Amino acid sequence: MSNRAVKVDYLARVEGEGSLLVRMKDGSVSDVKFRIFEPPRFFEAFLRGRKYSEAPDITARICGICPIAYQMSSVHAMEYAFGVKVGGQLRELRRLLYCGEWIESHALHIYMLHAPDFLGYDDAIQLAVDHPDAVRRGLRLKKAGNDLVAVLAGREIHPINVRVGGFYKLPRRRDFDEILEKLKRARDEAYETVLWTATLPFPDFEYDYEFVALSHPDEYPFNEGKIVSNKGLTIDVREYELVFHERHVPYSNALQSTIKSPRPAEQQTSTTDGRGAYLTGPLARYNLNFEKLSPLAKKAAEEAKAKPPILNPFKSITVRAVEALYACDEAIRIIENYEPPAEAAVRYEVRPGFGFGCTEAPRGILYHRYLIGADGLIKDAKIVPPTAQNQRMIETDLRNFVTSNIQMSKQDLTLRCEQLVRNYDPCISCATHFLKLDISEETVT
Amino acid sequence: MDRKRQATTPVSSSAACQGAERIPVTIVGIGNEFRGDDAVGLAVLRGLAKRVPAGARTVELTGDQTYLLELMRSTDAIIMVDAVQSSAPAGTIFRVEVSEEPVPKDFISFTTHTIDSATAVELARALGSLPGSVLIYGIVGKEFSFTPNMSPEVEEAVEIVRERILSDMDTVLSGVIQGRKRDTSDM
Repeated sequence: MSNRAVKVDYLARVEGEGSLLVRMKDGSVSDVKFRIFEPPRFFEAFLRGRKYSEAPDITARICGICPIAYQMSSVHAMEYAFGVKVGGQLRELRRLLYCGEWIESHALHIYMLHAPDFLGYDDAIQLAVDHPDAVRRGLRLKKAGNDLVAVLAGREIHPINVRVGGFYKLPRRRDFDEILEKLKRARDEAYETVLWTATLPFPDFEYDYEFVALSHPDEYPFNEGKIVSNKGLTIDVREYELVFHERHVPYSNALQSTIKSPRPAEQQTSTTDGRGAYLTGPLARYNLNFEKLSPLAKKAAEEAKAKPPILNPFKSITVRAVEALYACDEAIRIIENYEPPAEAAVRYEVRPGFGFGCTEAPRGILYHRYLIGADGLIKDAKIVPPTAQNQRMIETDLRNFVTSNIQMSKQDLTLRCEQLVRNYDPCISCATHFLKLDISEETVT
Repeated sequence: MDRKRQATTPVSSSAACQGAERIPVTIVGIGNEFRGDDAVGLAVLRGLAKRVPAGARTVELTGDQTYLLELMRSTDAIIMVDAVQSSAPAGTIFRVEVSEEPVPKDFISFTTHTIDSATAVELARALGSLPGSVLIYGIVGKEFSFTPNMSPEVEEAVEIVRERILSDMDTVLSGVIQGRKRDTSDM
């Protein structure tokens, strides 16, 4: 009998809080555990008793990479509760803000985190030594996204300008002069990025996923739409908890999400029966909404031979590049058509009730649900981030990939498993960032 | 802690990086105020902002640390203050100068989602954009779960680090001035 184990402590910053374990026994996979730490549980409790208007800025603190997503899902949920409709230029500005976050998040992931895997480097530092021009291109692209967020949100890290009903302060037309030129350059570099990522060597791996994303009749989804899948799901955001089920697994403090089985409980053979795991994120958005991309983004996809359906999750790096290109294109469109609205926010009255919001964070759908009291205080909050939703799918991918590549050396298999997890750009460490350290240096106590 | 105030106090200075002239010294406090001892970098910085001499800016960094690359490109010297994990007792203070030598390997951690400050330093070195002086203060923490409170040992280290940074300032600033003079005479 032979036993092998692939174990990766992903989150060295917080040892043991983010890790992956794959066990093999007698030539087959016996166990897969992908363990993550999930900040929203803390924030759900923290939000109770706070004023509804604090939710956007508090939830923005959950993730240093995608604060806009948390702000957007929370304001949409509050607006649902209060019966507020945000349209016209205010709605466009929200899309513009989301463009900035997608550009910076996708550029970070493509160049700093994922590309080194494909090219055989341990990290972005080695990539920068051998391919400095590529890394600089990535950093310029990322900075264009950061600067766009800074113009709209007051600052690029932990933005503060978003509120229920709109914004605290509106940009003037001339505020966009500088960023518009940067975005035009960024659009060219995003196009190059699409073609560059398409040259990377992709492992041969496909799966018949259930892709879940927002879908809107008129636009590539950021803030609004129905939740749909390629397996027949079409629901309103308010129906989310009727269809998606969260369950606790003992080895992770994040709840795993699944789609409930359409079959009656008595006909199910196990807790994993039914549709189960699903994939949310760029690959899902892209496969479900490709026709809503701009002509330029579609042209790049065609040139990169990356038209949907794409069922290989490693190709998500190219999909992110196409989405970054689309976000540049969309941002330019919005800025060129911008006319400052008369008011920075829609007026509304606070009323008690439930509010539901779901928007497309860079790494997938982010669901918020709040119960607001007549006093405007939050009585209950529920937040389901995309990484928690993808957790079960990541485990499924790992199991399938290892099973198909059982002959691979442990070292190669470990690297591939890490790369596979990174296909999802998981938000494991988004609320922490400290360093592991065990060296002898000058000490003062 | 006044949570509302904390949530709305500006925490980064993007204007400083947008084409403005080079800043002589940048002091960056890195941390997450919701995760116990991880807040120590921010705590050090919040008490320093009004005490640093002219020519120094202070920046709080609570999220994406690739922003450090921007900060390093626009300054002559950088001092980073961050929480670290170590077998040393909580509250122990490490001071490492990394402008000439690589960041010690144990400083480099790994994450799937963003880069850490040590990686940002090495990335800047690889791209030729490292400032002339790069100083890292690491304060050993022990409690990193979700809590707004730091451990007493880490709290005690906060003022010590502030004083150390202030005492570093003369040396760092004079180094910057010397470097600028050299650059001018070389032109």
